[in-house]
Amino acid sequence: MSATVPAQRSERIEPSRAELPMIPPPVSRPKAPVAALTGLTLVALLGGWLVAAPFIVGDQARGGAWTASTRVDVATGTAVAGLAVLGLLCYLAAAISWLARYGR
Amino acid sequence: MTTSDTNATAEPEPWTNKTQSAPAPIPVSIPAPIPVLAPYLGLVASVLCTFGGAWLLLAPYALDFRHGAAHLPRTAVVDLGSGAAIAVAGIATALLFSTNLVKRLRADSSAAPESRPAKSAGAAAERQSESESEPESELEPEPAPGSEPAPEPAPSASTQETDPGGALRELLTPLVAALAADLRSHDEERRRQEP
Repeated sequence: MSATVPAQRSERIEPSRAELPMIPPPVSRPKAPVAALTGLTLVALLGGWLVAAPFIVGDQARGGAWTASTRVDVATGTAVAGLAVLGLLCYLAAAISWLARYGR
Repeated sequence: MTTSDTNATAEPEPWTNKTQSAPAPIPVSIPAPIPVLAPYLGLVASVLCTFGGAWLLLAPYALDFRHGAAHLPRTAVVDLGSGAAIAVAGIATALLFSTNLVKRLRADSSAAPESRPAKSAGAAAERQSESESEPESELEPEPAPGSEPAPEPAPSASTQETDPGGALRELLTPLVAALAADLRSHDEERRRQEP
């Protein structure tokens, strides 16, 4: 049974860790476009202002039927604010998913 | 095939577990991509917001908020002011997002050729000579006299051209070297067992 033990097993040279291929350095995390994100936040605030403007300025009577300009302001302001907030949330989601996958 | 060979292949080898440490993590040479989805989404959102601002600039005239009056009503003025502000902010935001996106794409395109091994013929030849010399010289410190080395597949020029990334080649090089060393040890074992 002693012949079953190969003595050269101990002489076998395995590739060391230094011989393994070098792992490239991680990609540097790009800087966030802070100014662009601030601009998108400003657009969202402007959309919110557009929704509230007919009631703040006083052109739309409380309880009365909405005028055409009020309908346009509320609809457009809601769309603009919603798009801006959606863009911010999508940016945040994409950035977080990238960080969760490749960030260190 | 001898009985020792069958026993060696059938039974587990406890003596090999003493020298083997924990499995090392597989080296990954695939670079992480530069994130371009996030600024792209911001660019799309800002462009759509710019369209909303442009619509606000046109709405007082398209829907005739004046109703024949001499001056624009206050709601129309508010619409024009808000629309102009939203359009300007949207355009500026779109420009900033597009600038950031272009920077990231340029960085990605400039980083991609660096990972390719065959930038030039000299570099490819140098890499090929290194791959042929280094693993063999390190893994075979004392070749047995009279024993022929195990045949190894030499990377040809066509292989270099079809593998532009070089990641697979770098990943497989130590595996092939370890396999060659294992085959060599088996050959030596057979020679020692033969009378």
